[in-house]
Amino acid sequence: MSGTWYIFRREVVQYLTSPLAYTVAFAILVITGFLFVGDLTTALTTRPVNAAVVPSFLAFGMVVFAPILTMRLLAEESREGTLELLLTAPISDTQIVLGKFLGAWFYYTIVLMITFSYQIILLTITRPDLGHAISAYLGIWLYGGATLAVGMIFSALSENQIVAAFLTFATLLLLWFAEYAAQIVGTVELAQIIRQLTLGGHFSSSFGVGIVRLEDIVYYAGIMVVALFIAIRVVESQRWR
Amino acid sequence: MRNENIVITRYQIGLIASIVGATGLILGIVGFLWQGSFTTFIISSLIVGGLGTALWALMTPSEFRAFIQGRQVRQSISSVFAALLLLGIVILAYGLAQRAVISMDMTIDNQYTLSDTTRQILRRVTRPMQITGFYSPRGVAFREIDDQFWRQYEEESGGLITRRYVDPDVEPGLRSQFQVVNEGEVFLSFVNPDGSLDMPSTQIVPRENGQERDMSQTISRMLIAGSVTVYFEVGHGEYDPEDSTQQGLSRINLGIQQSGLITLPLSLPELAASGGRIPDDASALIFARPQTDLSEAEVIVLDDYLQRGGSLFIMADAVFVDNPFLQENGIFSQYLWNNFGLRPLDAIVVDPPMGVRTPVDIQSAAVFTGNPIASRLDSDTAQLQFNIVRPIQINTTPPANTTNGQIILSSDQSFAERNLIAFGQSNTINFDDGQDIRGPFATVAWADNQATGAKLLLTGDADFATNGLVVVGGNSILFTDGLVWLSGFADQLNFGVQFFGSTAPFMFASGQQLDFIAFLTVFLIPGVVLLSGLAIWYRRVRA
Repeated sequence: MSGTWYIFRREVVQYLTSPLAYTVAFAILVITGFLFVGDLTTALTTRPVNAAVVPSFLAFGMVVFAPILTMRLLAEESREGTLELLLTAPISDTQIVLGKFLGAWFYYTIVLMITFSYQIILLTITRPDLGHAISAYLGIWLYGGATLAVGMIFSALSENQIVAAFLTFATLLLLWFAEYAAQIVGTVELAQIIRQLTLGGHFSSSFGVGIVRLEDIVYYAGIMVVALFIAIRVVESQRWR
Repeated sequence: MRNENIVITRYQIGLIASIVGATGLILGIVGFLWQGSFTTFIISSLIVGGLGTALWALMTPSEFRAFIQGRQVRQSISSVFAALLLLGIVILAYGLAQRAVISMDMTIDNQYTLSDTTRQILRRVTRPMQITGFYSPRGVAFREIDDQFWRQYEEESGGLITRRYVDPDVEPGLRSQFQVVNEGEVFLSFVNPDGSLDMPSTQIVPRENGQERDMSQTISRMLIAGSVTVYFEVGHGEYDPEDSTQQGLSRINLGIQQSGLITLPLSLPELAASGGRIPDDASALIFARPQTDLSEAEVIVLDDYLQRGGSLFIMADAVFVDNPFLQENGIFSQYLWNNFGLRPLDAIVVDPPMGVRTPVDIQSAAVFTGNPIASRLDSDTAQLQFNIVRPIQINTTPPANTTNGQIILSSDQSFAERNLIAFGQSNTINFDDGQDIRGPFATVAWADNQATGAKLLLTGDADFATNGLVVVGGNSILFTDGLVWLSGFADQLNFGVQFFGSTAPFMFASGQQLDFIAFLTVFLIPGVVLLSGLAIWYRRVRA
């Protein structure tokens, strides 16, 4: 546990001292800020404010942002040779991967919390559906964790950050578009199976509309567990390759 | 020009053969798992895979041996199996979670939880019903959202309501049997004891106001179908329930029928002449702008009905004929005053501040929303509109066992024009001291008798319910909720929207507030983050 904590702290410090992390956060906040104000303006006097407008955007946004956040985590260590040093340190492979993942997820959580402040701002002028907002943010938090875990696999597989980012992007895009691909298959059963596999399918009709379902939590947690396990085995393979 | 020899090594051939072999074997195995049988493609893939592997072993035997026996393979295989095992556990956990159907509705107004109204309706379900939804693969996302509701109906009804989903492309026979036109259409049918659907009972679930309300109303309609009858009085020149012109009542009549109620005509003069009585199954009797007043014999017939707990919906209006309906000194007016403490005056309400086009086409100034008839009549969003309305006088000390009250009021600045002759002939409106009366006035009032169960809803106007005006403001709500109250089936009739409104408020903000929020979210918060990043970058460069 101390190994995980050490790596986690190291990653968080790296994020907090990295201009790239601030640039990504800036991009996310500008886009979500515009979306929030845009929804506010269209909702004025005509309908309640959409509590899920920011999380719904991030459901697609993470397809782009997750590769950027994870590409360097292991690929950079591998390219610069510091991964070998880490592997010889008294830290297990699991602690390395877990620490780095938690660091990335922590950074993502901070950005999410900043966007959640929009809901607090809303309290000054109306009574927003905070339950719906909490559901949507919980969903997108888990969703983000799953996308970051997928990114960890490719960061572990490649020494090249660009390749890692591209492979993560392609995989997440596939998982995103599979929801639409499900609509053009021959049978409803197959369409349902494909939809069950997609990231968006477990957000848009549950967390996104204000419903927290156990099966969706298990899905995202499952994606994280499996993806992190694969990433750990890939890192571990450095020892016997 | 220089000649260059191209050299192909055994290693290169072995490498290519290993890739071809692995690809062929993977395609063959995945194809077999997918299709469950050996097709030409699968056999070809396996043959190519086998040949590739054999060529690999032949060209680079030492590499092949190392792959089979080496540490890398053992580790790889163990990793793959461990990953597959973990994946299996995750899939199992997911399957169990899916079957457990554990969910929490976090929305402020419990949008995805069945309301008390729906639960009340479901408690009345005694005969099995089936929800049949038609969804193709294109509508699988909609099906998932709908199913979140339909499965609650199944659980709440204790399994009496079941759900079935049909792909219209796969089962065209069912599609034509249900006459499905569009993707996502949902039907509700009673189920026969032998498990087959009672097709004549099948009703389409409209897609108008949200899944719960649409489904609950359809169930309610099916449960009540044919058991409530409403009569329209037709013997005194009333508005015609079948007339589809602007002055007709066909819209209201159709709405009542679509709610599962039966509407029938009834002639009070004929009943009085033949010594008949109003049928026992009459849940309500509607007078929609009768022209002439009732005779004593007709009032006796009505009294007999009210003594049996009958309900009257009287839409009196200002009519400019001899012996007009409910004239102040008439026998029927006296009857209502003596028995319910209500009567319309021989006057029309003039309300300049509330006038729409003229001071006599008026909107409601105040609504007593505490009454079940008016609970949905929000004076801001569902304002009523009347066209030449008579004021209603209310006896504040009503007869024994009787309760009465006002529902709609005119404004403080209104007055009652008593000179109907001048108004009828030349549209002249003047306030005459000593003759006309200062407002406000009740324009809609109610009364009921606790001893007999008789109910009365009296409106000073009938035009609000005509095809031309019923769609305006809250006019339709007044009619439907009034009828629900009169019929005594308030817990069964749900053709209004009274129980499913959203409680999430609309937002009202000034331009200044919006500008401030925009500044905060689009500039200040991202700006602070960007400046922090720049500061860190600057410190790094300097260091």
